[in-house]
Amino acid sequence: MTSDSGSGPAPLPRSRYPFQSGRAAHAAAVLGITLKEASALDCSDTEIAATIDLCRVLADLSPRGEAVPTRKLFERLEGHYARPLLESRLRALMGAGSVEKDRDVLNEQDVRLTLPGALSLVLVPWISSMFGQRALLELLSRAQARAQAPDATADDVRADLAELRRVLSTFASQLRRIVDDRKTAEMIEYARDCDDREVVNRIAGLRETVAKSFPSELADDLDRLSIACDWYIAQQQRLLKLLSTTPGTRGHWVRGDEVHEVMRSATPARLAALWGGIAFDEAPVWVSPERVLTAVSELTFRPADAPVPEAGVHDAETASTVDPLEELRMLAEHLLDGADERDLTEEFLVRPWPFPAVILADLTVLAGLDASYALSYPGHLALRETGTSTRVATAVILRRVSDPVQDLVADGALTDGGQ
Amino acid sequence: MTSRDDTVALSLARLRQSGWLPAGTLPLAQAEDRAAQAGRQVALVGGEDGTPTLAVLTWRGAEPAESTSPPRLARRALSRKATKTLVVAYALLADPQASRTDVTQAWVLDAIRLLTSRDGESWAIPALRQELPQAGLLAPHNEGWAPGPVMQAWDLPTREVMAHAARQLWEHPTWSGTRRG
Repeated sequence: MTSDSGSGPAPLPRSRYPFQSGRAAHAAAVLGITLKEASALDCSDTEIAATIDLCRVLADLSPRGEAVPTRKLFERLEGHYARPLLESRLRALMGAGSVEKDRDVLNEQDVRLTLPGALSLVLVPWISSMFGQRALLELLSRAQARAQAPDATADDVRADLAELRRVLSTFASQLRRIVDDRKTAEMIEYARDCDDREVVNRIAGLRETVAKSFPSELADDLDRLSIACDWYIAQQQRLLKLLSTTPGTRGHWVRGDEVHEVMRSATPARLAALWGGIAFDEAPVWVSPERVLTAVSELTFRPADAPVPEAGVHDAETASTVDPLEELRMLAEHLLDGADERDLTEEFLVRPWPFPAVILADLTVLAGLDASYALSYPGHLALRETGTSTRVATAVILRRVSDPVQDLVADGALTDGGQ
Repeated sequence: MTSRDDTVALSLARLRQSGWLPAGTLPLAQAEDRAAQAGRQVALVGGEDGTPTLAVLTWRGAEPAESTSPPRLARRALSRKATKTLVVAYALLADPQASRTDVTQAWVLDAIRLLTSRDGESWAIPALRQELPQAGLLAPHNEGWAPGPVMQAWDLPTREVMAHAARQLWEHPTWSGTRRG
């Protein structure tokens, strides 16, 4: 196994505890991947080393808890371990909940370290708590003791600082997610142990000790530790700020399902304050600002003046367009083709639909407007077989009337009217 | 729980239910403590010109707005028609050129007719007589209505929104007609 500082293999952790309680058994199941004795997860030294390195690289690649592509993980570690081994270990880590997918979807390639995963990095027999800040404080005590030991080497202390930094980063990322997701039960669980001043003091003490023992060698490591510590404190303060808001305000973000969680453990006073914030305060009527603004716009509504049409302007372009009546005359002349009369029945039977209807309509308009043309209907239907169907057309005759008045006289219309 | 605690709890429950109570009937210090525990505060309004001092249950800071997405917060919003009536009544009461202490039904209806060229009887009268006094936003006074205890204890954001609304009405070309009456 290799550490991130490139030093030699570190001694592998061993569990001394027969986990009896359910909670401890849960922890053992998660942490078991690093225990050679755990029969369910019996694996070789190399496999354990690969597992630990996977967690370490994950913590190093995402100090802010962002997801890391598995490809990147494998690239970093393929020099030390075979790819199939890494894949099987990552699968085991995910099965144990030490590493999780960024999103719970098929083919998700990005993963991140969870809090149990970070703890599994530092699984040491003297950590008595797997939860919250107590584990971190124990880890700090261990690092402090190591740094103060007269025979401590810089590599040992550097490895400790690196572990501490990873745990701090993962704790902070976990805290951030809890706060972002408003997980009330977990927030209360974390806040119970929360004392950021103690962590700050302990880290300041550790810095002092390390700086005294190794004045120049570990300066960079201490800086990185400080950054991780600041991130952790910032997240913890977010959590405390959220929890310290007034109960009425707290009621707003306690979601329906979380109320049940709170009801299980809260004292009557806390419940009274919580329900006071949720249930009863809805009663007073609320003047909605949005409705006020809508009301104002309705009350001050002024209809826009109806637009007045502008006076017409002579447009030479439009004026020069062909007279529609002239177009109809041209159509009639085209159909007559120089003759004075033409039977259009054949034309209507041959031309595709809807030209016959359009032509007949146009000619009817023309005959109504211009007395020089007349349409007559002999009164029979013409049929034409077209293989599969039969076309039907009314017989129509278009006639040019050379002298309309003469024509009317000939028809006897004027003579009758004159009498 | 002692009988004293019972009294405080009962007063606070009544205060929560109605929104305001005569200050004299309330053990004020204890009620303020209890209200503070729930993120609320008790404000005292009135007391001038012989009017009784009222204790109004308000929010500490700005009153929270309704939220339909998580974290959800349902609010009993004043109806649209009552809000419209409230805006007109508030604009009449707060009009600096008119200096009124109360508004009558006739003034409100006249103002609505001047602004919208329509009658508002069907919606303004029920709002004036029932919804707004029940919500504590208006209180019966002489022949009309004066600012209610809840209106007097409005928080700053609500005051600003209402002042903005009133200004819009005052700037309307027909609003000057309300000042002649």
